[in-house]
Amino acid sequence: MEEKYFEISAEDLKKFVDSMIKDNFEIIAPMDRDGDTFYGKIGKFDDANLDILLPKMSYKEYLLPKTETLFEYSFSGVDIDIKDGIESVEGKNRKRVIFGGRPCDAAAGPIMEKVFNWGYKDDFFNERFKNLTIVSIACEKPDDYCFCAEMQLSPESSHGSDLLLKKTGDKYSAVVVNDKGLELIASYLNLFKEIAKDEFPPDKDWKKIFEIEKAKSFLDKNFKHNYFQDRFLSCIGCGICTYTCPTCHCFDIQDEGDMKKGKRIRNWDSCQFAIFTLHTSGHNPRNTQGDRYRQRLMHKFKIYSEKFDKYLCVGCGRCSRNCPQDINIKEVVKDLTELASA
Amino acid sequence: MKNIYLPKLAEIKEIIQETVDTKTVRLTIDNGSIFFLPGQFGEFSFIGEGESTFGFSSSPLRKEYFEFSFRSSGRATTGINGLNPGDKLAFRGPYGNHFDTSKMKGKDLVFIGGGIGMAPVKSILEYCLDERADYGKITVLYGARSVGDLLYKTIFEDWRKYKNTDVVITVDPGGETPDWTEKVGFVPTILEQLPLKGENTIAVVCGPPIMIKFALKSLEEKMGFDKGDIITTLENRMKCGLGKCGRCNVGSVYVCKDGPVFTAKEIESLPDDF
Ligand SMILES: Cc1cc2nc3c(=O)[nH]c(=O)nc-3n(C[C@H](O)[C@H](O)[C@H](O)COP(=O)(O)OP(=O)(O)OC[C@H]3O[C@@H](n4cnc5c(N)ncnc54)[C@H](O)[C@@H]3O)c2cc1C
Ligand code: SF4
Ligand code: SF4
Ligand code: FES
Repeated sequence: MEEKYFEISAEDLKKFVDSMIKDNFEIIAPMDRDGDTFYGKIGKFDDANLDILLPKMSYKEYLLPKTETLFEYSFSGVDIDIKDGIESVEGKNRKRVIFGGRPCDAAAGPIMEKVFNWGYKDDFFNERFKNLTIVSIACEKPDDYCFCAEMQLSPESSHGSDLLLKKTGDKYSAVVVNDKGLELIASYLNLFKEIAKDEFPPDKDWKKIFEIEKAKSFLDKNFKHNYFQDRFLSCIGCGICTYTCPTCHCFDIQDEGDMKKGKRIRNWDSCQFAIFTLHTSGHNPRNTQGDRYRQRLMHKFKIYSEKFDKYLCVGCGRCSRNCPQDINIKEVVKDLTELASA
Repeated sequence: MKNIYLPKLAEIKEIIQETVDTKTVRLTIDNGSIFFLPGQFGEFSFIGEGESTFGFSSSPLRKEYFEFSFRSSGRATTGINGLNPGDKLAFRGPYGNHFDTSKMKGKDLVFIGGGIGMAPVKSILEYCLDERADYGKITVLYGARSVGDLLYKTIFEDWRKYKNTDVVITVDPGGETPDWTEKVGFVPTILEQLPLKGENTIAVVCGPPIMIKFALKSLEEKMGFDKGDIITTLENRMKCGLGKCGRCNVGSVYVCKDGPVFTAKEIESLPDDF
């Protein structure tokens, strides 16, 4: 589908959201409560806080929940009864919309989709992704942690969104990217006014402070380099960087229950934990925090891009904002680009 | 819509107590085997205690059953250890690549196994024995820490019955018993004493990392094997086996999908992340 362009007033945007809620859409939007910011389910437009630059957590959990049931089991004698978890994927039959998310978070979906579909297809992910419509709002003032422009995106990128809004004064300009976006607004078209492509505000020229390809070229040549061991000495391996990251997707599989009944679940895991790769023999290929953060960098800026041709990072800066040790990935990647030229 | 994490249930036909802590489990699904190739692995579990990754240890040409051998070490393996014939075991797989038998046909073969690493070696060895005429001379070298640690003791003699097949069993110095009549010495040491040359020969090596390291050195530097003719397996920790959970990679290689079977030449090009 060719992109379509619209305009909507701030007042009508509120009507749009409130009407969707009335029509039984589940709307997930940026919210704040007791100083915490997150994406959560809103009961009305005013529950959302569209002034938050970026909620602390991304909406990754709507694609890959923190914990999810793969199947349930129960025993009767030697017989085992298994109830397939895919039948009850939460969100599957819901009209779920992410409203007011940021372009970086939207871009994360298609990046993860590749992982969950190379070779084997993970329909837990696919069912959720398919049933999610993404309405993003472009950022006006990225902060110092942001580096989406360096990551081949921009604060105004529509990549991964079905509908992208840009605030212009007290109005919003909207670009409908695909059929999913068009379908969403179809019942509320009276609130939107179609405009010509050249009436849609052009993207600003967002400056980049480094070229990401250079970081990759350093990683290509330097698996063993003192930088990794020295720079991450202060890392305490808490894993916050991976949990808050919209593209980190590594998981663990565990059984929970007793000898009668229970379930097999998958949980978010983290490459920053020492036991992540610990062999039964006691041998651990990644013994130091330097080894483990190097893996995070390698996976994001080399391994993923070799397999799938983009990077496993959208430059949202969450891992830096939330790191208790102030490890700033934007500075780290900049270091790598400088080491590459050194 | 398909759940790729959903296991099938297999029935335990027989359990062989190989050593104090290691057992071989013989399974059937609908009274038969599954389709797999030597070198591949599966995710096995006593449901409720979590999954574990094991290589197949039987020949896929023996179609009445499939087998794996495991050492009790943690939660999942202790769970499997408590099962009896007649019980059900959950299974997913087969996953991963396999030994390239087309490359082995017509050549002399040397199979080198250490400890529990003999399990995947047994699968490819018995596969080749089942089609004995397709291969040249076969030499088996299997070592364990002590006599009590040797797996498959009851079938060494079966292997020896095949013509042009040498079976050499060794235990580490100090691991022998008074009535032990086979070799004493570390695997690489015994390997160098065997009448083998790198020409027209493929070597399969599986075992603990330290044994692999020294065996590869002997094969390459002292016995003239080409790195491309030495085949081994990597055993990085795995969870999904499907290229999703993100823990088994060595550089850009996912051991669960691109491996677990690699030539020494391929391993040489990997970063030191295993
Ligand atoms: C391709 C492949 C093939 C393999 N083939 C075989 C085979 O043929 N036979 C075989 O015996 N093995 C094989 N292995 C190894 C086997 O997968 C492991 O030994 C097995 O999974 C251990 O399972 P477990 O759940 O019982 O141990 P786990 O419960 O996972 O524990 C293993 C060890 O890690 C420690 N550990 C685990 N979780 C934690 C935690 N949360 N915190 C602290 N410590 C922890 C435990 O203390 C224990 O010592 C293979 C592995 C691979 C990758
Ligand atoms: S959040 Fe910071 S301290 Fe925690 S694991 Fe990540 S880099 Fe290390
Ligand atoms: S690595 Fe950091 S900056 Fe990149 S997407 Fe993840 S949280 Fe955002
Ligand atoms: S075992 Fe999960 S990615 Fe390889």
